[in-house]
Amino acid sequence: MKLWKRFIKVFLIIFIFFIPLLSSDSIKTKNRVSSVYFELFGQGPILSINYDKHFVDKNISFRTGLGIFPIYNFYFTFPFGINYLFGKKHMFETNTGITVFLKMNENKKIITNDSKVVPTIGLGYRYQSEKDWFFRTGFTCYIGSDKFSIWPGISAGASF
Amino acid sequence: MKKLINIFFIVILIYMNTYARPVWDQDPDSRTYRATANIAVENLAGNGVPNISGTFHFKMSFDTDGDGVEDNYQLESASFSTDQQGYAFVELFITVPSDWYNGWKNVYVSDISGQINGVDISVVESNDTQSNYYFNIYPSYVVIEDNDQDYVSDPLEIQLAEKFKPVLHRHPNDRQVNLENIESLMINSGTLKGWNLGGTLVYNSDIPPLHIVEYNEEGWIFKNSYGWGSEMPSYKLWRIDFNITKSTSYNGASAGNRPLYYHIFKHENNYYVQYWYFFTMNDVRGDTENDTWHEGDWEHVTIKLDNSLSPVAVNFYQHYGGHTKYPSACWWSSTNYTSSTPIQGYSDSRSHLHVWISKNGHASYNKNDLVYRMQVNVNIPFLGGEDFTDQCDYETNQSYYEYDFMEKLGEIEYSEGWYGYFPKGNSKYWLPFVGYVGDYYWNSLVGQGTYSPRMPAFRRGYYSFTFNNSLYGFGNGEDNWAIHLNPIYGILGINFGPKLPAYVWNSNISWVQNNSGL
Repeated sequence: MKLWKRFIKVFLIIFIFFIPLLSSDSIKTKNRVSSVYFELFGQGPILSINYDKHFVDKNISFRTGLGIFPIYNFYFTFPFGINYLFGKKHMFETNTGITVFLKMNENKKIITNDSKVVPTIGLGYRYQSEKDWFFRTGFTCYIGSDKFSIWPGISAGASF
Repeated sequence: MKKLINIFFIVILIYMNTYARPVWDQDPDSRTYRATANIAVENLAGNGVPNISGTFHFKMSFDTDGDGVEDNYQLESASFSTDQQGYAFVELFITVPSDWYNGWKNVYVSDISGQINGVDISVVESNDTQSNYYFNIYPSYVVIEDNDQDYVSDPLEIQLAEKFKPVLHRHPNDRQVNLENIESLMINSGTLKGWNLGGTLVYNSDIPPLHIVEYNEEGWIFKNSYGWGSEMPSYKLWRIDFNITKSTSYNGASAGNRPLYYHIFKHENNYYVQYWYFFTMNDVRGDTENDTWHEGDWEHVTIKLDNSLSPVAVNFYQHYGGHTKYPSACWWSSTNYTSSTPIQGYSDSRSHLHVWISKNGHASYNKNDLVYRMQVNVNIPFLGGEDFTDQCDYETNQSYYEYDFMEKLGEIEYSEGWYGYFPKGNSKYWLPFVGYVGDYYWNSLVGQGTYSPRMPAFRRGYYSFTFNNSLYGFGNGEDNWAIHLNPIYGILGINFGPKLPAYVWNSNISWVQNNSGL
């Protein structure tokens, strides 16, 4: 239960930090569609909840989220990314970003020296329009110094 | 017509006189019958065994109404005890009722028991112990001293345990310094703990007498060594915890108190000699990415003998399984002194097996064997996974796990009436404990950890290791072993939980050249 409290707390901090940025008047926006969605695999890279916001140009959006990676060890994950979109409702998406992995030990404490930042690139299909369902699927490539791994992903949520 | 009726009755009378009397009719006038037993009891050497008692029974069953079905019987019984030469004679008499019509006899001996040199016997051979045809039988028995009731004589067990007792090579950098004495550890620092289904500690008490628990369809059964206790269906997990300081626990038992445990049993035409060694800790934290440790570490090696008591195979236990080697490939010496030089190949004068124990994980190896390597690949760059490889010191012979005496583990038996397992004869009283032995690392966030072991009687290998078990049994090689565990992939661990695609994570077991790291 404490773990979930911490999860929610971190998520709120991220929201509080980024929402003013995205809604800043200094950013010129044409069509500032926002979306909240869940992602299975992908940049999460297992399960994540994400916020996506168009800014500067309707073809560019920013994405941030909070996820978990409970594989062999337990990690909280923070995917951040910038997407470039081609099309209108049915869009081809390319993206680049990073995913931060914070490792938790069995005492539910973060082990900072075992936490990692992994760069990503990706591409896929996105369906998105204002006040409608949000759907996307594609591949995320995690880039390492000596290897990379490709993860398929699927997302679903709502735009507003 | 009258003549015909007379003839009919005459035929009936002749029939009854000829056939209706019982086949055991010996004395139709007095109708008293005598049955005897000439009993002989000897040991494996053919010498008579005195003071073996039993019961001789003489039973006659009757069909009083001629319908061919037994409807009455008489039973006489008498106990006997063998004389100094191992013989006993018993006779019994039954006088049949006047209205008997037909009958059957049964003579037999039951309840043979006694002791040799103060040790309970087991019967390993018996002949002519019952008959439905004869009044006189000549039962003969071959009996052995067998306190643990495994049909292997106790002197033979001691003889075999002594003959093959091994030399245990220690890796010089192993954190565990000495073998541990589990009995001392339990008495001095053990606590029995029980957790309920919700994971709450609900039982916390001193151990002796050691409590025996069992999980069956009714739930957890909780009994102590004397069979007292109650059913506790809500219990989830039982464990013996040791109140030991982690930093000193690696010391093990002090000199003079370091046992080597053994277990000897027979299956079909083979004898099996197992040596079990107990370490306080299995701690590979320094060699792995995770806090991989558990208290209590039972390990063992098994020598399979043919009927003439010569080794035909040796099985070295490693982590989850084992590897079988021919005796000619193993290393032996003429004594179990650590100063003795191991030579490859068995001979009757060179019968002490050498075993190389891997650093901190305590897997048992034959010299120069490939060693176990486990790799876990989490398919995200930089996150890493696991890469653990056993390390043995095959070369320097500079360190050993010495033992001061040998302890027989014995056998356990399951009893419905007793609600669980109990030790047979003088077997170790803690052997039937079915919970975990010692604390262990557990990461509740991912549902993974390293369980501490259970007692040898419940470890893979106590019996199943040797019988028709393709994973843990004799006959395994590197390939066969690896097939069962390779690859492992999933979210929660080995053979458990929902499986995820291998691109999420996977595990690989392989066998690699040893690097002692010295």
